[in-house]
Amino acid sequence: MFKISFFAVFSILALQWSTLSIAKGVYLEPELFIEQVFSNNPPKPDKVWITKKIKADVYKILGHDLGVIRLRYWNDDSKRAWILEEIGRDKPITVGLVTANGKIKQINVLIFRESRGWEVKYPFFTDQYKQASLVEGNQLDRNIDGISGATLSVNAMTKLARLALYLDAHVSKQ
Amino acid sequence: MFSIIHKWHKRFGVFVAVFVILLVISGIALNHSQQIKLNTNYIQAEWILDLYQINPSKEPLGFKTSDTWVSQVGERVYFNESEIAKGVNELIGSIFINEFYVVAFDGQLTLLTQAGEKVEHLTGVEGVPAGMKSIGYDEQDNIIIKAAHGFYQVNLDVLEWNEYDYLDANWITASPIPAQLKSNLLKQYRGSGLTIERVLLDLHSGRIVGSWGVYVVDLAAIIFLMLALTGVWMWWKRR
Repeated sequence: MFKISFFAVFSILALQWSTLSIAKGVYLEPELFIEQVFSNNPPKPDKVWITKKIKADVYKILGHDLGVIRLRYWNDDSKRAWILEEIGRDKPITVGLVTANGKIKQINVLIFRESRGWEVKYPFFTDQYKQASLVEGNQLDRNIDGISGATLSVNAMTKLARLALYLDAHVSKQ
Repeated sequence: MFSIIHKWHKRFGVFVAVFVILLVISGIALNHSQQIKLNTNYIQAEWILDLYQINPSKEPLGFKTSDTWVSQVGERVYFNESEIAKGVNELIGSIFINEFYVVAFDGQLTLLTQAGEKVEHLTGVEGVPAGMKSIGYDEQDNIIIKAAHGFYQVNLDVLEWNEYDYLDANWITASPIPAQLKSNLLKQYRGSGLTIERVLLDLHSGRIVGSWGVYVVDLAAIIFLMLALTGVWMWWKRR
């Protein structure tokens, strides 16, 4: 009985440790993400300038300035890819997004640096954003179900989805 | 028996009162750390910073470019006295070219306006070569980068990275940082290195006074348990 209990406790502790050790890190190099999105033939990046109008809208979406005055993105005839960052709790989460026709086509967590909230990388969560578009006030057209203990990471992901769609719409108008 | 336990219950109660106050205040504060911004506000008291030995692990490194200084203090990079990057291993250098400052570090380039406003941040995904060793410029004011696998002539406007076996350039080298700037940067570095949340966490666990502090808090916790047990026992006896 003691042996079984000891084994059970040890297994749980080992699982906890291994879960923490895989929680943060580089899940997919941004270079590989872009190559995958464009089938190993990525276009040269384009740039979008963050004008005063965009800056004000971005502030409303993120709750803070973007911190740069131009952003690069990758664009072919059918889709655009964005690599954006937002802080979850203390550190930035690097996210790759693909937009097409004003909708989210793909969203991947590329680099996660925090110790909690990494569950946002899983498809059961990211699939919620697929085909999401913007409605009035630059809000998503749907509610995103949160994850217990990962609220700030979820918020960061939603902000980046809104930002990518906003920038996509801006670039489309140009 | 009852009177002995009652006496020790009171004595221990007085002894741990200060721990109760400390743990309650720090615990409530930590529970609301985000809302009261304990994780984004930093300790400025020199004696606490000294206690934590908040100092850069190596001597600050500076590059003079035009009239400005780009410096690395610890893992942070500063444009004059404004922080522009953190988590940096090695600052490679900085040049002023085509109205922009270009700062190179850790396989990344940051472009800044003359006023120090960040234009953009480029990494490997935009083509910045891996293993950057030096940054410089040639006679035609092209940016030249020496990296692990060769030399690159760079056009940052259209993001062209032309690779060569060898390129000659005016390579940027580090210079001694003026004493006043260095002192200000060190002060700023220390003042942004330790959050209030970190100190409260260490206070709550006892770790702030070293590993033995944890055992003191453990002892206090065991006394809390004994007080709870003896309190219930005495209440039960008097009932």
